[in-house]
Amino acid sequence: MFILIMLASTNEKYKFSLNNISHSFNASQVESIEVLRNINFNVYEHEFLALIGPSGCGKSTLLNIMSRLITPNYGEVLLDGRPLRYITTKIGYVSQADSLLPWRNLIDNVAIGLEIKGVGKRERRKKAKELIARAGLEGFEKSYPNELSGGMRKRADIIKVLAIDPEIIFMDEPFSALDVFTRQMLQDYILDIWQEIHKTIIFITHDLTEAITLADRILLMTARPATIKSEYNINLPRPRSSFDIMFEPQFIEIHKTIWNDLKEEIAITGEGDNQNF
Amino acid sequence: MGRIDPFFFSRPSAIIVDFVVLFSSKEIFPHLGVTLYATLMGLFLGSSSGLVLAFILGRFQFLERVLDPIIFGLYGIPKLALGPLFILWFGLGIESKIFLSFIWVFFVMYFNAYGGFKDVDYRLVNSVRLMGANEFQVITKVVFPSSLPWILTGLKSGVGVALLGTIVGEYIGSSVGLGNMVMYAGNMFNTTRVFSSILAMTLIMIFLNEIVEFLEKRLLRWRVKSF
Ligand SMILES: Nc1ncnc2c1ncn2[C@@H]1O[C@H](COP(=O)(O)OP(=O)(O)OP(=O)(O)O)[C@@H](O)[C@H]1O
Ligand SMILES: [Mg+2]
Repeated sequence: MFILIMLASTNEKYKFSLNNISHSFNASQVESIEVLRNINFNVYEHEFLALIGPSGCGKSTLLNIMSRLITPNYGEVLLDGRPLRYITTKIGYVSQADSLLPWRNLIDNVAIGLEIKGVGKRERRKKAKELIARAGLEGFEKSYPNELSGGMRKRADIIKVLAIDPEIIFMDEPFSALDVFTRQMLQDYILDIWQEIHKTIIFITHDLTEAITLADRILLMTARPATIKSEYNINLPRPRSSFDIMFEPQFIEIHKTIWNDLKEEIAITGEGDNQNF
Repeated sequence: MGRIDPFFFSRPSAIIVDFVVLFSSKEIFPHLGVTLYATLMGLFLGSSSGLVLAFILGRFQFLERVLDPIIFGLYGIPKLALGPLFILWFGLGIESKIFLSFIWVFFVMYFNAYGGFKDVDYRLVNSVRLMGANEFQVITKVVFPSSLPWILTGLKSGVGVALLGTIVGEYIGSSVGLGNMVMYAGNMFNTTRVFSSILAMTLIMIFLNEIVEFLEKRLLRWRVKSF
């Protein structure tokens, strides 16, 4: 008992803690896929944490567990030291898939979180308009998602989450479908936002350059069943710029180190895939 | 040979004249009124109940497993064969026509709306849940708007079968209505009248269809026209 209480109190200095998270999906009646195995890590307040791992290893599943969209088979998620049992708007989740509602124009999509909260139409539109302008999307307030480019939609996804002013922001490979130029532009956009609002951000990517550019710390996940393989602190100076940072000697060095680590996991995934066929 | 026999097909000029006479003599109005009323009632009752049932079955997996096969089985019964039965149950009055029309519309709306509710993207549902939406908000902000194209398609096909149900009902047994008018004219070998009645039905159809299309244009502005 005492030990449990002590554990709980030590956890309080973390914004977020994952204790012994394991999860499997039932592929069929008899078969199940073990996706996560005994995941443990903590996230500090105001930290920019990047999670990186091979494709299909369970990154999205992990975020779904951390946001309580999925209840893990085993283990516990703590938010501000307390077990997370329900979905909460303290967490803003920019999911991997497009999440704009196709029948709503940009301004009403961005304002949806406020609308759900019960904020009046004038006020929520005003706030949405400000965010839209700051994201460089002004003039498109009345456009529907299918009239926006991929990069514009992703920005809209992000400001939609910013509108509800969450304490923690999850981003699941937000830029993976975009071209290099748009991606760099949006990385700078994220760096600017983070510099300004300084929220806790958990960012999933399988682009190592992106992870180093953005994060304070990188956690490397193994191939399925995923565990945390290693951890790297990124002490590059801030404010950062996605373009300039690539030429810092320290950047190149850390990139090389993590890449060697990551390479093994990618090789494992490749083999695994071949065995399936 | 090569000549169209006016006995069987009448002449366009005669049909137009007859059509005008039907209106100027006010003869058509009781028929038109009754048919339109039964059609709209059938359409309203059929689409609302089809929509409600589809929604309930979409929400409760157990009910769905039990009822969906039954509904599908009932759908297989030819509605035409039910006409005489309904007249037996509800009499020769307008109720039997409304009922036939209602049944027909019900299935059309049920299958469309059900498809729509099943097609809702769970990722969009999750995205509003994560923004703090309760069940009611999920339904009003995602489930219904997302199913709306399907529901409107159901309504559009519903308009057609609503009129069909009414006319068939009137044809089987009635004293008034456009279906009755066609049957009566047919028995009298009045081909011209048959065609002018058909013209009236066609116009009703076009009129109702225009209304649904107007709704569609207003409500589905966000959709891309793919072709
Ligand atoms: N609801 C589910 N039911 C069954 N299996 C699932 C489910 N969701 C995910 N999986 C499986 O779990 C594994 C991990 O999926 P997940 O989406 O978390 O991977 P990921 O790391 O996010 O991949 P990516 O980089 O491609 O986005 C995959 O093998 C996937 O097939
Ligand atoms: Mg993923």
